[in-house]
Amino acid sequence: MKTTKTMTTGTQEQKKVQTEQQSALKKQYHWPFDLNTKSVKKIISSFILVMLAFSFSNSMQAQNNNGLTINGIVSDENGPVDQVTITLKGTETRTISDKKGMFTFPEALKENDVLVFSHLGYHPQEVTINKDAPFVKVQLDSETIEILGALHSNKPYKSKRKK
Amino acid sequence: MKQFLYTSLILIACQIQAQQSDFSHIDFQKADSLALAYQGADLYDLQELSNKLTTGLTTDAERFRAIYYWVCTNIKNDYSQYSKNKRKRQRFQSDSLKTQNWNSELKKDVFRKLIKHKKTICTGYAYMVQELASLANIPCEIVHGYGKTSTNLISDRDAPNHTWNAVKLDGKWYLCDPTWASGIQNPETGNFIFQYNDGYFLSNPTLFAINHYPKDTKWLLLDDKAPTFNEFLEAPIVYGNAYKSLETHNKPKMFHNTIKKHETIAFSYTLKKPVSNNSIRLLIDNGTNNRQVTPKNIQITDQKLTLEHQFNNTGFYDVHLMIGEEYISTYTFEVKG
Repeated sequence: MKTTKTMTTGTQEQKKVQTEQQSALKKQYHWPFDLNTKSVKKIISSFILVMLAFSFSNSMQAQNNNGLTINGIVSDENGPVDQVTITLKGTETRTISDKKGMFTFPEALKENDVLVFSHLGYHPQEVTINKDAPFVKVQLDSETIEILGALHSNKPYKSKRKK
Repeated sequence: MKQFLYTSLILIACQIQAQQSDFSHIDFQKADSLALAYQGADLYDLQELSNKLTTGLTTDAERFRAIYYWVCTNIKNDYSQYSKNKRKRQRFQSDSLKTQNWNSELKKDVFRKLIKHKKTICTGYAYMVQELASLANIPCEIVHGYGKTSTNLISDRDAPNHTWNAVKLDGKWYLCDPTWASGIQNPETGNFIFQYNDGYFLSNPTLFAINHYPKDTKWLLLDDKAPTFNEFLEAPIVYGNAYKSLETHNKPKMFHNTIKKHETIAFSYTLKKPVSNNSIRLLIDNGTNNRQVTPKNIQITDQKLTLEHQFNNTGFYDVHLMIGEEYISTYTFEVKG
């Protein structure tokens, strides 16, 4: 009996020592490491909420400005053209047409905004946004280009001689 | 470390000497390193690329330089496309409709390949330089015409075969050839090797006209001193290296020369950078063997180089001007008794 008693007190004492050690360890840490998981979860969820609120307010603003989402297709005489750069005139905002010649302009636009369509080998084209026509069809004119190529050579000249 | 410092100093010094004299007050180092910083950038958004290449540069000359240097050091010459184009054009030469069809078929392919694989032929280089310059509000034109090389001598029956650029800087037009500046064909493998030649940047129009003749002669930029097409056809061959060491090529004016035995011929050039007298030689090939000759009366005064050679034996000679190990120009001399 005696022995068991001492054993239990022994374990209690050990526990005491352990908890003391743990609290000592805790004291060495600083915020936010001493937060328990519950409060961390709370913080993260409230952060997400704030982020969501922000993103919503952004889209709300865009809608308030009567912004138009502009889609469209770019083609030439042979069909859709990809890799056409579409820029909002006077800004740095732009997008590129996809393989089917389709595009969605990344920013909501206003009436009378001007989009510039440009691609190597075509005349650049400007399109003024009309709020009744949010789908823009653009046909690019090819520039008349002659494709030429002369090779450069460092090979010394040698006359052809009759033998 | 010291060695590295010295070599970089020498490199910088060389680069300054190689610039067009009008812009000798500008150090293009900044523009070049900006272009190098975007090495390998893709071509899907040209406006963005043009912005990146010109941001922070204050003069149009530097902005254009960054664009030009980027194109020259990032776009490969496409030999398969070149030879295919040459073949088709020769086959359709008499049929304008077929040529037109071939051209529109090729055009799509050229621009697609250029954007996707950064591989092209002259027109692609010139278009890329023009497009990027225009996006940076620098006036730049594409010039079509004839390009003459040692392996492609032009005859009056040939169609135009080459494209280059004219650019307006500080109210003045200049010439450059991004295709020939970018590199050369490896003679063994036939593949393209990047080997930037600074001589084709804002070149002296007089030298440029020896191997470039535009369809529209206003792009010779020589006004009343402009050579005729015939003079261009008869002009000597100048190599890429000529653009590195010469400002102008003055004499002989002709590629084929017929002279009398014991006649002395004068050669005359304007140098871009100083060279030592003993690096100048003539390499004379009589068809069976080559011999190197030290010319007579080599004189260098005020960057002007003159020399002479007397032909004492009859025969037919290919004569190459050499500076060091580099071929500068070639002429032929038929010496009659």
